Amino acid sequence: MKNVKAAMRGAQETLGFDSPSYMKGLQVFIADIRNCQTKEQEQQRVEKELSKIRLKFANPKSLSGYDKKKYVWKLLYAYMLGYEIDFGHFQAVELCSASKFSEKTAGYLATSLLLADNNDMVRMIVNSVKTDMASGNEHMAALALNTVANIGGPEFADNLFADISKMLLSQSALSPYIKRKACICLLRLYRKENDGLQPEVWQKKLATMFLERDIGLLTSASGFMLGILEMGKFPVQAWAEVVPPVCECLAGLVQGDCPEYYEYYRVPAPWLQTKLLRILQFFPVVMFDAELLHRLNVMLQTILAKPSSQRSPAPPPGPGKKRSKVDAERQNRSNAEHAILFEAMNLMIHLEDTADPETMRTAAGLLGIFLSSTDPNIRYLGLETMARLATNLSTHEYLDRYKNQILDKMHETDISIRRQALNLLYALCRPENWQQIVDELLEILGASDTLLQEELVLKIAILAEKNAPNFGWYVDVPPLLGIILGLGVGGVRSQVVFKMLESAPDAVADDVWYRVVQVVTGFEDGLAESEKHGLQRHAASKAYQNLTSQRAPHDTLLRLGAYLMGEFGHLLPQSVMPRAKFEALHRHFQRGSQQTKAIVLLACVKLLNANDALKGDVVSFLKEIQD
Amino acid sequence: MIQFILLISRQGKTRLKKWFVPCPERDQFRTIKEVSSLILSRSPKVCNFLEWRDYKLCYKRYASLFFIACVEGNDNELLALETVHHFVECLDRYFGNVCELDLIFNFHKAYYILDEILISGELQESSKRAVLHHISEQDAMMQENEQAKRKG
Repeated sequence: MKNVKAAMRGAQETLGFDSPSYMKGLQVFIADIRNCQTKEQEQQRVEKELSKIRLKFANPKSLSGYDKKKYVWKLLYAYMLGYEIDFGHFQAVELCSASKFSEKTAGYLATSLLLADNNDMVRMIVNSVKTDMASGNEHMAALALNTVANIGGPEFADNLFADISKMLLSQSALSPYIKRKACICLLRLYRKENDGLQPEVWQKKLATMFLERDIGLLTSASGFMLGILEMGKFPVQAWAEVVPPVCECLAGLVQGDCPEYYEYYRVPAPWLQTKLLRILQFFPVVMFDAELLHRLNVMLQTILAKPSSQRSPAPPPGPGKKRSKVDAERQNRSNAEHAILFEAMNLMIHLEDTADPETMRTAAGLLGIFLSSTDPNIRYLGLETMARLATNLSTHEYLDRYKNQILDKMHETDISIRRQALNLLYALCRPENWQQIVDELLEILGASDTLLQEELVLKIAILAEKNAPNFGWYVDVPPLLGIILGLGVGGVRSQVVFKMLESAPDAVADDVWYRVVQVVTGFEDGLAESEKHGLQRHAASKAYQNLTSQRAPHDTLLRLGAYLMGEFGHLLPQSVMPRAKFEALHRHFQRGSQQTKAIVLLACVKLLNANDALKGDVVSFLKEIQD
Repeated sequence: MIQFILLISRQGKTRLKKWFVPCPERDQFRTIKEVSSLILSRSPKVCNFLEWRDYKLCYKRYASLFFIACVEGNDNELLALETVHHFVECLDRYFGNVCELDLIFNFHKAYYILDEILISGELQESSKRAVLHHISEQDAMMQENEQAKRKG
């Protein structure tokens, strides 16, 4: 039935019936490709066409705008199938300055698909973009703005940030449609190159923009605001002016004040609501005065206390059955409502102690219910949000009761959910209950699949390191862990410590990393020579990785890394040049504490010992610090 | 922001792809292979989110096509799904009960429609009515050109 319909449409178009931008040659090309039985046939057909187009493009004078457009679309089709398109760029750029709308669209779209990371080519369309933006024809301006938003980079930013800003800042009579696109362009350009933005100008402007009524414009403006806040270039206090209008805007939506065509399955502007909720999370709570806090709390309570019947997801369809239309729509409504709900919870978590405790309890209760939702997305997000809530230790009294349910989730078939459950259990660990949780995790480990095993082991080991009063506990278990991972005791231990240094460096006391060194150096008995070397090489390479990838490693990591590099740097593969090893240490020298500097220094000398080629570097380094 | 949008058939063929961050074609190809195989192998009963590299893949199947949106860690996952759904609904309204074949033969129109919904990985228009209004105005503008061409 569907095939017949498509064929009919094809016939209509062949006869020329109202189909703008119909290109027969393109349709034929697509149909031919579909008829190819094998990948080889397809490749042949595509190559044949590409050669033909190459020839045509080599003869630009004979090419009409229509033909250029048609060929460019064919190139785009091949690009979409995965063929590398390394020509046709000039033609795409030329089409951007065509006067015919259908040709212009092809040009801009081709540019944004094929030339996104080709700065030279992109620079060539800056003029077309400027002309079209100022053309007074809304659709041409829209095309230009779309392109800037999709592929805008530094070369656009230099030229266009000021021009596009004017579209919003001046009192011009531009439609919300264009202003909306302009906002997103500014967001894009700002992310790429953020020197052009003058805060004094935009503070006032953005605060006024949030008083607008057009939902589309508000949504884009919110996006721009979020971009500015995320970049963090200015202190957040600079934007304090926007907080009251944002709050006002949100309050209206929460009350349901929204034009009907912006309701999404009866939810007022969900995208805008979540953006507004996110904006508020950037401001430290101390910036909110009592009245604002009260308003926020009232809003949050309204959102959370909504009757669940209004947002509950539809039951899953029976086996083999398709969902009814009513149920499908209910699902969409549920997603939109829950999207807002989860974001509201994030705001509540951000408010910490200034959040109404009643609201906290409601939230914890809702999250508890979500754990057993029939909708796996809700289970997933419920777990994730609960982990966020658990960062506030006072909530544990409400959350502990769900421990068994959470443990159940570790047995779900869905790896996404298992991961979140593990994360949550980890977040719920405290000195009082860690051992119990770890015991349960160990049991799960035995039955676990490889996908989750490594994460499980690392988390268990980190919990042990953080909480174990002595190393006795740990020494008993590692053989089990080590065997499973085939890494050996020391391997697991050193991996854990590196992991901890990444995520909780202050928790790694000196004796912890001394122990790693002891183990890796081989004072631990029971390891064969080859195993020891393997372990040492592994430790050295982990040290090297960390020292080269981090701009400002934690002091403890620096100490451990330097020591390991000094002792075992010679075991790294040939591909790592001696110079690189030295640099990995040298670049961090100044940053370290006195004790750390000593270790780094010694390590450099040890590297020299292993490789004479470093003499020049090390000697000049020593001379440097002598003064 | 959304990093990229993919439409993949159940056989792994690409029906639409749009990247909102610079990505060389070779990497695009590799990503599509990786992401397709991850998602096509998921069972239908699991959730629509999958952690992948430093991002999340939010995906939904509509008849024979998988719509995949790759978002960043702090993006709202449920809304990513609804953004995809919004796109699907606009396609549906425009083509009248859209099917995969429509998207194959009219991929260029699908791109126009996408450009009215998402730019720079951000949703710009959440009202279906407004999206279709702008698309039909664009169609009219292209039509004028065609008619002028035929006359001239």
